[in-house]
Amino acid sequence: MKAKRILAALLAAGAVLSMASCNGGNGGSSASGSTPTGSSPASTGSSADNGGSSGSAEQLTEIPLPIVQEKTTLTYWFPWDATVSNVVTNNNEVESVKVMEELTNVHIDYIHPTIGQETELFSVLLSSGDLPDMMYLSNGVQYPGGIVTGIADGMFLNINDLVAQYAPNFSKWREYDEEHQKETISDDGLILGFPMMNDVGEPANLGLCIRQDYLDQIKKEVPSTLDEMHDVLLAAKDQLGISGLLLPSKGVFFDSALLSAYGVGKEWYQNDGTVLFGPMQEGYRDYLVMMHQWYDEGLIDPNFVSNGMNDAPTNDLLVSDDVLITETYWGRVVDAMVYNGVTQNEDFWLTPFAPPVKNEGDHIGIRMYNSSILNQTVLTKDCSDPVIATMWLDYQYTEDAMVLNNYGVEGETFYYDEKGDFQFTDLIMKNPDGRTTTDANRLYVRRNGSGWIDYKRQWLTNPTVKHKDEVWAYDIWNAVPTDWIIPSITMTTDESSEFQSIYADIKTYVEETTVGMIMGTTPIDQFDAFVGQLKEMGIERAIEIEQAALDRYYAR
Amino acid sequence: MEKTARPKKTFAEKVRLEIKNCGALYVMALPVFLFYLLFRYIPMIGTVMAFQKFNIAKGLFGSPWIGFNNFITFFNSYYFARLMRNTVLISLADLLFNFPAPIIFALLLNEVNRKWFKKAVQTISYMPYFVSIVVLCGLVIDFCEAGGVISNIASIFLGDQVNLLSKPEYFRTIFVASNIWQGLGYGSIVYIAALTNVDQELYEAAVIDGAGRWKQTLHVTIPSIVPTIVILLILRMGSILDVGYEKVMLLYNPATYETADVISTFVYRKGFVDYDYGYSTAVGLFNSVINLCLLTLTNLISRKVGEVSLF
Amino acid sequence: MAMVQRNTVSRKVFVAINTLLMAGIAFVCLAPFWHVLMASVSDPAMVEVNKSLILWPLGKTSIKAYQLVFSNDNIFIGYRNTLFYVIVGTVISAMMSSLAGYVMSRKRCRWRGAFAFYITFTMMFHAGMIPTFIMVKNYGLVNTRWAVILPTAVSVYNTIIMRTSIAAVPDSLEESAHIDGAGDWTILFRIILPLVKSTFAVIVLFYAVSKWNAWFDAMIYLTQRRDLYPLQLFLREILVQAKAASSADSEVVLYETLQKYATIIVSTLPILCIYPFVQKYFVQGVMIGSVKG
Repeated sequence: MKAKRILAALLAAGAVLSMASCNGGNGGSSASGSTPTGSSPASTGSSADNGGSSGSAEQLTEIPLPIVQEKTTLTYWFPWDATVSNVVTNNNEVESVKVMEELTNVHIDYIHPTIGQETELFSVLLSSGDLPDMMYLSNGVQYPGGIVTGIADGMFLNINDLVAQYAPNFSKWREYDEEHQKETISDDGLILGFPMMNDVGEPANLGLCIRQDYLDQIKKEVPSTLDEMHDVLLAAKDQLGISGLLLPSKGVFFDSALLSAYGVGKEWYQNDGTVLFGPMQEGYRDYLVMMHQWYDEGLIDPNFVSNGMNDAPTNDLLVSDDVLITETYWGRVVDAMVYNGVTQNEDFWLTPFAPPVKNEGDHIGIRMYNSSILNQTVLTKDCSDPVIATMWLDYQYTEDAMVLNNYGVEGETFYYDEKGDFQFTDLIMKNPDGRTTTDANRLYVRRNGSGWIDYKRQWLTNPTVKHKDEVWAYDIWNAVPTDWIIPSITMTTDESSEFQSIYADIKTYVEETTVGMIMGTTPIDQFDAFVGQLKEMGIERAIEIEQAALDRYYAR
Repeated sequence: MEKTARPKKTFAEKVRLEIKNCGALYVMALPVFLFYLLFRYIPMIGTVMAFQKFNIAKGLFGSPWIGFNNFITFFNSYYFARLMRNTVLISLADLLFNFPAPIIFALLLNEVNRKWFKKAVQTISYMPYFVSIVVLCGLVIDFCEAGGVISNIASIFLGDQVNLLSKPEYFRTIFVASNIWQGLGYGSIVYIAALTNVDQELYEAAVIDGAGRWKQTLHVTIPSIVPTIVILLILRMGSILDVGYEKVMLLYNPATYETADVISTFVYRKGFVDYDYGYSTAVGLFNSVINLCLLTLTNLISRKVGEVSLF
Repeated sequence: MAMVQRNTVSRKVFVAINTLLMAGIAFVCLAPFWHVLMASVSDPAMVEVNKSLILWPLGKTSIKAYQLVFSNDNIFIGYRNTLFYVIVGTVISAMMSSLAGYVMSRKRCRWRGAFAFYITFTMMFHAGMIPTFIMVKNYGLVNTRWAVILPTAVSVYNTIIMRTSIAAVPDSLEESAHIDGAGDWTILFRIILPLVKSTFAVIVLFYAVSKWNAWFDAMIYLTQRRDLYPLQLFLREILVQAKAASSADSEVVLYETLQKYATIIVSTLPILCIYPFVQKYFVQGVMIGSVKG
């Protein structure tokens, strides 16, 4: 009897599970367009084919304000920065967001998963089958297989038609340049979503820095070639007794600095459209030989492998007395170290410099690069009103919205100075309630999100401290060309799973061997065997896949 | 109730008899039974993901079936042998040192006479369990890096200041030691409680037989807590392959992958870019099957040898 | 634990060494907690750049970090919720484990071995986050308090511990109670449980601690009810988010690290205080012999 009960329960459960799990079942595998229930014409259903055919309704040339006569509510999944929750816990508490709501007459119900745990929440949300109207995919949250797979699976809407009809501002910006045109669509021309974007990506904010006070002590100049760098490190070792080069734990700098002097990128890079894999190149061997020599000479921090550093070091390492050269984010240096008084050493200063070359005049084509297109907002299959959503999102790309979202309300939170530039008012800079500029900023002005983003804003609230002959890092790091960099290519679902199954092992192998050869536990003469092993693991197939994806990108 | 002298009973009759005998007991057990059914067994249907190319949109009943492909991918991994070896060795080392440590600690603590000291040591001993694992590992890294306390001490024997965390041969030791550090106090609680349940009369009898403190410990104390130890050992065998990724991830690095990379960390790194739930479920299933075999085996041996068993 | 002892020399030496050893262990175990405590009242700038073990507060001492932590209303919401989850959850769990442990220890139950296997099996085979989530959703528990309490209500480990302990109680007690006309429920609550107080105290402690530390279930099931979040989840949000977002952010909050440490102290101190209360149950074993009929 007990057995029968169990069986019945299992069958019931099975039935229930099947109903709950068939999320895509309603729409099959085609991109389902949910018929909008709002006050919009019915012809805006999206088709499964590529966009391009305009609907029978007139195309908008600008977004009317307010967008709708009756107040409409849309739900928006939006990862949230928990460190600000002592000031604001929901985007709707931010002043500029309230103003946006008044202007557009659209109320947004924000759902805020906390950044840092949004990936599990994302998976769980997808499997629950009830999606909010819009979702902001940021901070590395990725639909498995990419947004294109999401559209094919029926989770996200195909918005090509919607954009063509109802998003004049976004469409205009898409024509801005090649990057804007190619990075906003898939290989087949599907528009991915509504990104966070600007005209030019944020300038390189990560790069090499050297301790200026130490340089002064050993009476050397900022190095521009590898030999000069070697020289400087030796002098520091002799005179200051430090092993000054702080490498990330994987042995190569995040933006391939130093390695790039040998003409090679650290992982995937290209030469005129041909995809190359860094660790297979002769230049990689030369880099390892040099690093190993420097390691034996005691020029590299002996604890580098366990410092947990990926792109930039933690604060305690950054201001440590034992570091001469490393890579970090410029904002951290200026604002954290000096402005916030984290370091007690008054002479502490880091001077940024460009990645060194082998011989003067050599070309380096890789650096830290921030695309002008970042993070997408997608409309989901359960979007209650795709037309209103499209119009609302499109409005974020207008000049007025840019000002509101980034700087707030004129006269209240910002004003235009004599040069016509933006400046924050005392409400932000010297907040009467005693808040810090950061907190005030977060209370009055929306942070990131889809729409036009002005990255210069962050420099207003954290004015750089004038220090001796200050050098503006962004100019230096940004001056390095970017022709070796591979843009955001997409793979098909099949390619993607094949690539993943090959690449996981390869990545581990490369990391191990790189670190081993630098430290000397693996002899450099095994490099040829290393490359041979990579081939056996299938690297050439992986290169093929990347190449195919890159070719498709340029064909968009 | 006596059994009648009939040669065979039908299953229905056996069931009726059982219910008559123990019906009230089964009612008592019902909440727990339902709990496991609802929250553990029914969701186990999801294990079927291990045999699918799981797609979150298509769900369990729509994702394509790929049979054992996920397993084959895992077994064919270049690092499969190494991952298995590392996982087993780390787990065995932990079993060898971290399992007895709380027991010995409980026994030694038992020998302390001053109550306040005993209580204080006990309470303090379980503090590391509550300190966040990130903080604890941060301290371990600091001590073991070149220039750190432990590294300095080690340099007396090794001759040179070395970053202990960059040496694959020391990883297991450091890992197990940090486990002991964190779990000693908390793990000893069960044994301390068991020690208080030892029958007084047995001690009195032993004293009459002339046994000193050491002999009392050997012949009364330890045998009394053996059932507890054995049961917990059997349970421990059921998690042999479960070396959690969080702590390993905080302590390892490319220089120690050779001995430190375990199944869970490898799967985590692989899954980090591509949310392949089918693959991770398959690996988890593989782990579970092996764990089950080991646990059952241990249970069997224990039953034969000492009559103490889990089931 | 009243063993009789004689004061020989070897005994004295043993006691001396043991005492030293215990003190050493206590010191090593205190260190990490002390480090966090000292760091939380130190000067934030100095903590930021400090790498090693902190034995006394660095620089200017202040409780600013704690003020910041408590200025966040979430902490009080978290405390209130956690108290509910811990108290209600522990009562439910301890009861369930006791019931199951009792049943599995009764020798007249033919199916008790099978039942033990039934629950142990679940220790090794996990359904995974997504299938469990789907079922909990189907049971209608998502975004309610019960989603935090029910899915983890019973621990196999704790139940087995109860079983082992209850099984050690002599059968004669049950028999004489039977003769006196007592049913199973009476036997369990009136006779058995009082005799295994120390083990019961252990599982109460284990359950309470695990529920105090729990955050994962709350995170995935309470997506729209932040007002039901337990303390640990708020804490984790701060710890995790700080790590994820701080890389490129040029706005570094000076008290970030210190707040992390203060939050650790604030969230573990209460549970540490429970132990002395539970400790009193680990006293001299009950004179089982004297209860023999």
